[in-house]
Amino acid sequence: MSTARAVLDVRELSVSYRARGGARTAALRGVSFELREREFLAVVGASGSGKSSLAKALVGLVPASGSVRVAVDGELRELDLAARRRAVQLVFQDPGASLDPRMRVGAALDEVLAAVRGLRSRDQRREQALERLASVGLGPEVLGAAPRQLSGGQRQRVAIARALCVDPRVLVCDEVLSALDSPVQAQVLELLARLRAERGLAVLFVTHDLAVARRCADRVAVLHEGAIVECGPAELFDAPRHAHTRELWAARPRWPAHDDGR
Amino acid sequence: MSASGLEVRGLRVQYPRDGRFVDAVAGVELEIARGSIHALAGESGCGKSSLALALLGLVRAPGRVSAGRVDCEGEAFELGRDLGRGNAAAALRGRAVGLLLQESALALDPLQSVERQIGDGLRRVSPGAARDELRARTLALLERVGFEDPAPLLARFPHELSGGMRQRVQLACALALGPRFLVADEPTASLDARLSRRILELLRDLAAREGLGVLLVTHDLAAAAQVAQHLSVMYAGAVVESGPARELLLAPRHPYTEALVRASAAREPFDAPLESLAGRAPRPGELPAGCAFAPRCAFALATCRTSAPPLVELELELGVGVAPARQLACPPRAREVRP
Repeated sequence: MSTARAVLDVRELSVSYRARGGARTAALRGVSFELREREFLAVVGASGSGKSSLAKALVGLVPASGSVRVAVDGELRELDLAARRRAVQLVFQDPGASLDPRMRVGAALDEVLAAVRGLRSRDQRREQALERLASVGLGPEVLGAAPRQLSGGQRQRVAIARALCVDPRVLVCDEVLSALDSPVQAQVLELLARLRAERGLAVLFVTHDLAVARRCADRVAVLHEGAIVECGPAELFDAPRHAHTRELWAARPRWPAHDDGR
Repeated sequence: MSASGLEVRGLRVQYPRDGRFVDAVAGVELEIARGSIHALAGESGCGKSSLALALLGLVRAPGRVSAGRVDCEGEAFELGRDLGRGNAAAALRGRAVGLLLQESALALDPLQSVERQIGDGLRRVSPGAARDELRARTLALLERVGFEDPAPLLARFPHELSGGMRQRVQLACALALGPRFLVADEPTASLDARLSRRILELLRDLAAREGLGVLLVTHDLAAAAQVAQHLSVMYAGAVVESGPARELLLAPRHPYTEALVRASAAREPFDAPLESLAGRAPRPGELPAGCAFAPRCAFALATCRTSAPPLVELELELGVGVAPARQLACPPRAREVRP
């Protein structure tokens, strides 16, 4: 993994919000990291640690300072916002809220293919929509479905398929599992693994579920009060160096073991 | 059991669909013992929340409770008829059985201070109480739910509190009515790991120290095993397996429980692969003949597709009478246990 090239390079990213009375509070304080090709990087932290601000800042949904560079033809470049958003796509926690309830799945994908990719031919758009749906494990029958007719897992797949329509390099997933049951969570995690292998996608996975990070990530970054306090292979949880990482890890719901006493 | 517990018998909750009533909860039996936590797990849509609401008479029209009884420490209630409105409902709801919901921002009144919201409940159980006494009891309740210095909280409003604080205030409101049982419907789903653990430990302490009986509705198996003595797994409106929580996760017998365990990211060791479960649960009214899980089950036999499996008690090496008993609705797996 260490030989893989960086697809995303983030330097000194900071976000602050205006609090009551005009003072500013920092949500993200100079965060730097890189994301490599096909990598699964989990960003973990408690509520209020800055996880969601980071996800939003990467795609320019909140004003931020610092640099976000994306690899173009093997070279890291600072892109304008429109180009950056094509390279870095955000998938939200609740697909019920991020998909337009009045728009059928086919139309939601078609819109992106027409507006962002500029595909003129309707047949070509349909073909690409079907290809993206197939790659998230959905068939043509969902094209005519409205979001409310789909299960939570299907909706999250549609949200991912829509993100894939612009051929991104990086998928930023903000708590995409928290509205799903564990069998469906496992399906989505399987899907992300496949997309990384087949499309070379890199995944930045924001989560409060440390077990998922430990189990599925190549590397994890631990956020605390807007700063990365520890970053390394997922196995770092087995021997955390930072006190906050230790605290988070100890608080996770622990699976029972055969040998622990009652 | 009925002397110190809450027994649910033959609970059936229905909702209209395509011009007829279909079962969301199809005849569930459940027991909650005083001083312990009974976790109820299953995928969304399996009926676990409908069951929780039915216990408090809160199933809203067009839904209905078409059958079911509750025996609350010797006092019997018909869930369908008595619990819509009136005195029977008031006696059970809130006073005997309290409710803790997932989203405290919705459960609390945004326009009332913490003192007002808790005081409302206190005034209901002791109408003549003086203001000073109410305040003292409100402070005591806030201490019970883990606030070390509760006085500054009294004048605060819900939006001025963090999610974890709001959840504890909501719990204090429920406890104000002095319930012997508590139905907690996904009480930690919107909290991070540390806050969630705090709420679960609080419930565990209330059960252990004060004898509260808790029904913990959750989809988080690891959290369930951490605090609950008893775990029941629901699928398509019915309980498919039930027993001691830790044991169910370490040695699941029902293929569905097994699938839930194998799909849990929290399962250790972490290098064991995560296995997803193909297909989706049938929706109410679309149940196949026989076992509802059979179409997704890798071990289904021909008989599984024809006859509905009863929930039977297993006689394990533990011996009969060691509570909670282990129950299983899977005849092929039950046969493996009983040679």
